[in-house]
Amino acid sequence: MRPDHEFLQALTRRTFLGRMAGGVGAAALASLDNDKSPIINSAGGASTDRGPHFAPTAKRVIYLFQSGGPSQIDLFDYKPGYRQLHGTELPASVRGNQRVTGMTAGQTTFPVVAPPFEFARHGKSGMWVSELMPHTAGVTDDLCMLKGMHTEAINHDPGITFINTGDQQPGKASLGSWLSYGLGSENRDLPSYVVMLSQGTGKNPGQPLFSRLWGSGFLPSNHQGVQLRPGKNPVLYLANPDGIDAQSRRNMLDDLAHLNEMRAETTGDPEAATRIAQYEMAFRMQTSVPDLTDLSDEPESTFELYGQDARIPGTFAANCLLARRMAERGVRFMQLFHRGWDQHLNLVKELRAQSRDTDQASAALIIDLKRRGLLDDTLVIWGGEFGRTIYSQGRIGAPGSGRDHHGRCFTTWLAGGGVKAGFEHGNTDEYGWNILDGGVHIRDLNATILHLLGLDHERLTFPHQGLEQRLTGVEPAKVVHQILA
Amino acid sequence: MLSALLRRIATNTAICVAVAASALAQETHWSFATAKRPAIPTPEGDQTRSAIDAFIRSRLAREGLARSPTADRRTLIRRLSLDLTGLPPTPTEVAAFAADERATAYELLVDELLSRPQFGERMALRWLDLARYADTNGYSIDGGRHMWAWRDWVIAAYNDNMPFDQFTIEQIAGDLLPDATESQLIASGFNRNHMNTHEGGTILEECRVAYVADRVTTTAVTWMGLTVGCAQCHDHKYDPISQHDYYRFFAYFNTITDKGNDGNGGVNSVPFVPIYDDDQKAALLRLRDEIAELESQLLSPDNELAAAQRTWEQEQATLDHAEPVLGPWRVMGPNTAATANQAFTTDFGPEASLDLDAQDAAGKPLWQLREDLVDGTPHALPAQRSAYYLHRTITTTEATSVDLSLGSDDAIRVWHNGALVVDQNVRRGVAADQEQITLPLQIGENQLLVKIINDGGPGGVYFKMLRSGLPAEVITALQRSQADRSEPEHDALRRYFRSTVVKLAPVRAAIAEANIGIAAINAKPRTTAMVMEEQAMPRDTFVLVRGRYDVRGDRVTAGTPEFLPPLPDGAPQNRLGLALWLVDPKHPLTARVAVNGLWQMLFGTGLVKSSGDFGTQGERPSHPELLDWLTAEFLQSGWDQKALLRRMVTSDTYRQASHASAKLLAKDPENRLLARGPSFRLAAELIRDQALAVSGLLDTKLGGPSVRPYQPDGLWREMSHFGSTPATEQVYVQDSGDKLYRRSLYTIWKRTVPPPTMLAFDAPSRELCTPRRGRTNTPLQALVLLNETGFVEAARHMAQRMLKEGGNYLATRIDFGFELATSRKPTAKERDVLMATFTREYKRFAVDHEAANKLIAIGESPRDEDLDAAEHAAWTMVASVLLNLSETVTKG
Repeated sequence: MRPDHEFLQALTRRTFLGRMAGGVGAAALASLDNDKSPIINSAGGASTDRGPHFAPTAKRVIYLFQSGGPSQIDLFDYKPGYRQLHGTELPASVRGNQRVTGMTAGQTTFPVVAPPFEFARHGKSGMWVSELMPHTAGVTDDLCMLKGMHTEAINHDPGITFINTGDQQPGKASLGSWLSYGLGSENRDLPSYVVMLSQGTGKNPGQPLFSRLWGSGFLPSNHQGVQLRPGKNPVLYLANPDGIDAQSRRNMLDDLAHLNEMRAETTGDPEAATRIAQYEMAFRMQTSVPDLTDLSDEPESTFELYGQDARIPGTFAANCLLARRMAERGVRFMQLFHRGWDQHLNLVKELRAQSRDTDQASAALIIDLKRRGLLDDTLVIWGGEFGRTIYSQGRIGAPGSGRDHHGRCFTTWLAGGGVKAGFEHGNTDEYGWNILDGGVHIRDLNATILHLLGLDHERLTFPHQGLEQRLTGVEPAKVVHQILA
Repeated sequence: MLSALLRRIATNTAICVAVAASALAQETHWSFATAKRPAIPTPEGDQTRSAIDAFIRSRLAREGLARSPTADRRTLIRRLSLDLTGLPPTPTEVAAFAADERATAYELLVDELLSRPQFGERMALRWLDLARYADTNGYSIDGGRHMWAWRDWVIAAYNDNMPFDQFTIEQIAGDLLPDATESQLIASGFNRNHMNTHEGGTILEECRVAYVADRVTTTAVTWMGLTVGCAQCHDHKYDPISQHDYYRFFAYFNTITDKGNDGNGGVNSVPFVPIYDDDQKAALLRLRDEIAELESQLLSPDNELAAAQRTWEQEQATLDHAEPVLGPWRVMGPNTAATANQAFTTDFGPEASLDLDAQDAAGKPLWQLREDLVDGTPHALPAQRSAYYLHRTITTTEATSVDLSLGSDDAIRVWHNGALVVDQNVRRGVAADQEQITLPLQIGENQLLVKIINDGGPGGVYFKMLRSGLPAEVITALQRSQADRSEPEHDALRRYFRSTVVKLAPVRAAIAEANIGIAAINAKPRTTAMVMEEQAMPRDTFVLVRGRYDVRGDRVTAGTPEFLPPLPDGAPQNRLGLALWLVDPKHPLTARVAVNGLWQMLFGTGLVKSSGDFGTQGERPSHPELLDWLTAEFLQSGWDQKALLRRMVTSDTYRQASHASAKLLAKDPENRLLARGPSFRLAAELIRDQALAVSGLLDTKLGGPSVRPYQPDGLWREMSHFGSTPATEQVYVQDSGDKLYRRSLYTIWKRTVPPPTMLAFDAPSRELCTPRRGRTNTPLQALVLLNETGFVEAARHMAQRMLKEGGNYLATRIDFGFELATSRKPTAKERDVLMATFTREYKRFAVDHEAANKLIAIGESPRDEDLDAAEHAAWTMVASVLLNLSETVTKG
């Protein structure tokens, strides 16, 4: 922490506590210290059973969401037999009744394309990892590889909405907002749910993102994800306007609190006290957030680990590093959204670029968290909304060809937070098309994430539209006990 | 019937069984029985002003609570102004009302506020949330759409105090009304406000079913407070009837001509209607009159022409018809210009006078022979921003006509014998049949001049003669003897013949020009609006098994749920019938839900707190008799919303002071019993609008296209598909000038990235129908009010007003500013705090000029340069304190 920050934070506490000794001040302080609901919501329904429901193995989550549908065929779900099947037609018996998107529905042939990349086994468990992911290959002993992920969605909008909010249609609460709602924050100076966006160099622009992916849906809006952005205002409107320095802002907030307090004593309005507390948190964020995003205290070794991209604000690598810094500060849920994994076309070129953007930093995050003793109670997730087809979109072998969306199976990896390390769960058939065993629906993944955080997905509910809503929706969902350490 | 509904709700999901089961014990759920007018209670020893107060106070008496005293005048005018216009009162208005000694001063104020145009804007806020109104499509790349004409319809309907039954019918089924007006068509867009997609690869039917389901959900919540959406997908093995109910309702909205995947490129998805502004409408009328007049000239009696026609008719019987002969193409160009529009309008020579022998300064011929330009296939033109002329002759030995097909990249203009016959300033790639025209030819040589204007990139042209010779109806007429011809056949002959004679060429040219004028207006309506439109061959509706679009069960017909009253006698079995059913006075829900919605707006919470859920899962009303009494009054008044609001705000209950003792807070924290006046944080739009109003920046223009006020850089781009065209709303381009200061309901609403200053204060994303907003209190709100450019600029202008209008003393300036923000004078202690603020900040800025100059430069509006910078900056800090007061963002 920079000395001036320290001074300002001390100043906050002194003036604030001094003024707020009794009455309204006490109420404000109480509301500040209630970490579960730092914010009053007068419209939300009553919660009866917020978490934790049992002892968690993970205190926080870093979700490296890979938007667009990374090709599991070319990255993780490898079988040497693909080489023999290359160029042969995907049998109709294997294809089954799978819905095909409008982009390849018109194709008359569905030729199998073996990955145009080298694969090797890595680590004690001998996991297959593509040459595109050399750093990830180096940490396989920490990974729990789920090869039987599946979803019903076949397009991006419903797909990313489904995996992030539990429903293909908009309107539901996101995973992160459920965690904020259920568990509150461990940090009084930062939001409990932070979102960071980045754009890969593979497909640029990638498929769009939506604020609903980190929205609170029907939950009170204070649980929505707060975007952390590169630049002068890492949180929207964080920086004081030009001409107002921190001391001036402090003085002004003291005057404001004084006036609000006087008025509240006349009106008895309890919201005034809460509002004073929120202004104080805003002020603390004005120092805690720049302190978080200022990487000048990171040694050179950090950038060697994460890669030099981590010096460039807004890159995936920089966001990974920020996620580690937030994990250290007790942020509950950090979600990175990385765009560009939609390789319908130019797969060889684009996938190489996408992988290069993300591989080193993802692996670095695991190594870094482990070194700092944080991996044990931090769950790291790497995955997208669906996978890609074994068959070629476009003429086989053409440089412009790629793979279409595939929801029947895809691969997501987890690490830390109480999941088995160096472990693979789930198998797909010889065509990497259907799941043979160990299927994990995206609902099951979400139920499992909640479980690791000490939340029972059937008990974490919120009344809305005549239903006790839950992240996993109305269809059955199950915790994947086989992967728990 | 009721048990069927309850079974349906009970089987929606396992998790709601327990709750529904307890409801099964009841006979009839309260909201499903038609409201009856209850007797007004007479609380003992209480002089009540109105029936509302009688109901509220008899409950208070039961609870052992007393009402609060009436609020002071300043509080009342602020409360009323914010509630009825969404804007705070001016200090002048406050002073006038505080001094108004007339007995009816309050009621007069209410009437005056209800008559302001800002009333409609304020009322629209809640309706836009229900209608999920937005300026973008929502799904996938979330491209642009145009529905502001519908939004303006809502504002106007409220301002006209359109009865709520009509308001309902026009929005549900305006398109099905006999001789539907433009306004009624626009109104029917209510159920086109749902999201739609044009994501590549989507399955059309899957998306279309989602749109219909959204219409069902939104209509049921908005008008009936029913959450029928659950019945779309539930496991129907327990109770198949419930799904039938749902899909019968679904059938009303399932026969629209929309497509599942549409709305690309910033163009509305079909069906939509063009909307012309008043000037365009007047011009269209004038041009049509002009054409009618010219047409009559064309056919007016003329002996000379009649004789010529007879000769021509005789000749036709004997002549061999010869095909017109197309001459070779000659081209002239490229003619470059700075912009394509300039190239379009500039005459590079041949438009005014065609000279095929023209030469350039060096004596080189301008026109080149191009025999390679074969007809019937597109040809490339140079890839540069320029105009290209193409010329050929069409020679005919007899009066005849030709049909031509043309294509262009991009814009095109065509002259026939000097008269402009095609005039399309478009941007497109070349293809066949982009323009089709019929040219009546003069005997001899006809001059055809084509101008292609390329706006960069490849250019292109296409030409083909589709047909020549006599039109079919003319040949038919000629085959009959003169005596045998019918009147239409006579007309056809005369019309055709006269279209070929040289004498009438000027008249024909004038008609062509008028038609081009019409085409130009048609090509650029002021805006378009999506509407409802029934299919000519209505598609069938099926029960969708587990809600899956591709698993069809039984076929069903449109119908309303059984547990509610039947359709009124004579109501058609379509959306219009559905609308009439909703506003049937026997319907137990519609009026109650409408009354509750207005109550919620004024008191913060509805009499039924769950305003979107009047079903068994919703909360029961706090004052059921009051709700029913107001409902009965509402129906008796002819669904008069202004009258209903007036009744509510003139009650003692509304006029109470909102101060809460600790005891009362403990007893009734949410103020459901209303022992005190309503007090709660303002809605997002009101907070910003208030800052604009008190600063004097507010532009009160009503309606029009949405605007783009300040927004942090890159917010859209970092999430959007930013390579697309501007119309698809992928990149935010901030406005300047007055558009920065319009009321917040005009701010462009992009669903995947809603306006951040609105979102911070609990505005919904507008992806779905939202009957009730949350009211949170967060640090992000503090950051918006403290630091956002628009709020800092508002503080700067408020400071300027304090300096210029607030007198010459610190105290008077503080009082003026304080009153702007809160409508009251500060206490001495409050004044002292703000004086200290000013003094401290002034000292700082007096030595730190740079800081002062930076602060007062924020925002695009100019400041009064005569004001001392340090002083202005210090007052800006004071004004910012005032805009951030809890009291300022609260309705007290």
